[in-house]
Amino acid sequence: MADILLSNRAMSPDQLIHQCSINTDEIYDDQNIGSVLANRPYLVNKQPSRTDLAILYTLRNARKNEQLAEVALALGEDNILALAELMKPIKEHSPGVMGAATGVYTDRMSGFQDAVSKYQRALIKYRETIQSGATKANQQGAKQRVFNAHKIMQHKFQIEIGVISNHTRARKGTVLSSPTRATNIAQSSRNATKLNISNQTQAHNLVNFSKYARYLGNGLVVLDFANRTGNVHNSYRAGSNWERDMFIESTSFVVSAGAGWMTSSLGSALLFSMVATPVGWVGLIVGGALIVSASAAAATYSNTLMQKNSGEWYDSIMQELLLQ
Amino acid sequence: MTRVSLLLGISAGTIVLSAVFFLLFSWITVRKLKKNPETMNALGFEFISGWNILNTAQALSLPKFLTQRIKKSPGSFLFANAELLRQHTNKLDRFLARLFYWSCASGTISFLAIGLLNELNIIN
Repeated sequence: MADILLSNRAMSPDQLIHQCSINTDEIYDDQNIGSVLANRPYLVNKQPSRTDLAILYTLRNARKNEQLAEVALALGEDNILALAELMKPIKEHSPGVMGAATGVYTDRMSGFQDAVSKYQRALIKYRETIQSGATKANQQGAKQRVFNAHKIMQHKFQIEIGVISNHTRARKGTVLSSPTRATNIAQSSRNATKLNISNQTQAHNLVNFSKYARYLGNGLVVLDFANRTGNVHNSYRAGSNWERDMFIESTSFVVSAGAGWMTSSLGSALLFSMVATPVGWVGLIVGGALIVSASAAAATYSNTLMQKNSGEWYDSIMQELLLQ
Repeated sequence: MTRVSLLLGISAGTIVLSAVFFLLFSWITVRKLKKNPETMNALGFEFISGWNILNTAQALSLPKFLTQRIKKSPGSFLFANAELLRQHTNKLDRFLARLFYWSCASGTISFLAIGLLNELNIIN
């Protein structure tokens, strides 16, 4: 079990004692600066074990440590760990699947993910309004948006929220179950939080989660598109054959999205027409999960195939055209 | 260009072509159905925006015995109401729906099948 200290601004030893009642002596510091730097994870343990150190370095290697601190502060320590755990299966797919985001992110999880991310964005926004000293009306508006986002999430995804809440040990209710608790956490002018991380897997989940936390939901499609156009633009600037790259990227996008779509559409039609007896929730969830993974696999696979082959097609089409 | 690559190209081309039919179908048919108060709520569950275009195409192109079985299943709320949509569409609408749905489906199935068969060294 490693206690990780995360702060979104630099703190002197005095402030540290005042805010988190942690003495600088208790902090493992490999550089002996004496104070705590902003957005840098620290271990609250003078004699850390190997595992503790592994966890620390996993967290420190995250590219966006500010985001980790920001999200941890806005969501609260228990919840960020539970959320990171729940989102893991999707995150593992995303880099490969992004091309087909439209096709793949159609399952229930993506809806949930979207709702959580909207809620989370509302919370972070609320935190920002509080900290920037905005007017009362603005603060109230931001708070209202948090409550609305929570209502939508609660209304549609009770089962998933139940699963997450079972993981956490919070007594006052979790951020997910109570928007009051959430706005209280966001409102509190805390600058530091202590995460209790038990193993390196958890640390990995956390790093991945913070990496994507702000881009969840529909944003993925946009991100993917931006990524692809970025590729084309790079090759344009490098003076290479950008028309060819554009052909590859655009056809890959269409085909992998289409394949993902079709697989889930045909799959669900088959699932619901084949099953003669009324299926219970379990059957639905298992079947749904199968369809979603099939659709994810189809989309990822199509994207790979397209990237491998479509350049060749472009060449031969161009050759035909030029020979005419 | 190898034979596998050519076959893959034809399937991928079919999918790209189906995207054109998709646009036509959504402009001509789905827009009409969305404006009609009788059908606007019968287009099935919308996972992401645009999903009910696919639902509509599916309802109009799957054979009747399948849509009837789907209607009886517990997941029927996910799908568009095929009977109602058939009453409110003309021949052109249904033709477009089938054109889009089956070109996309056949393209996808053959694309994935060719890729997999090639991977398993059954064709090369």
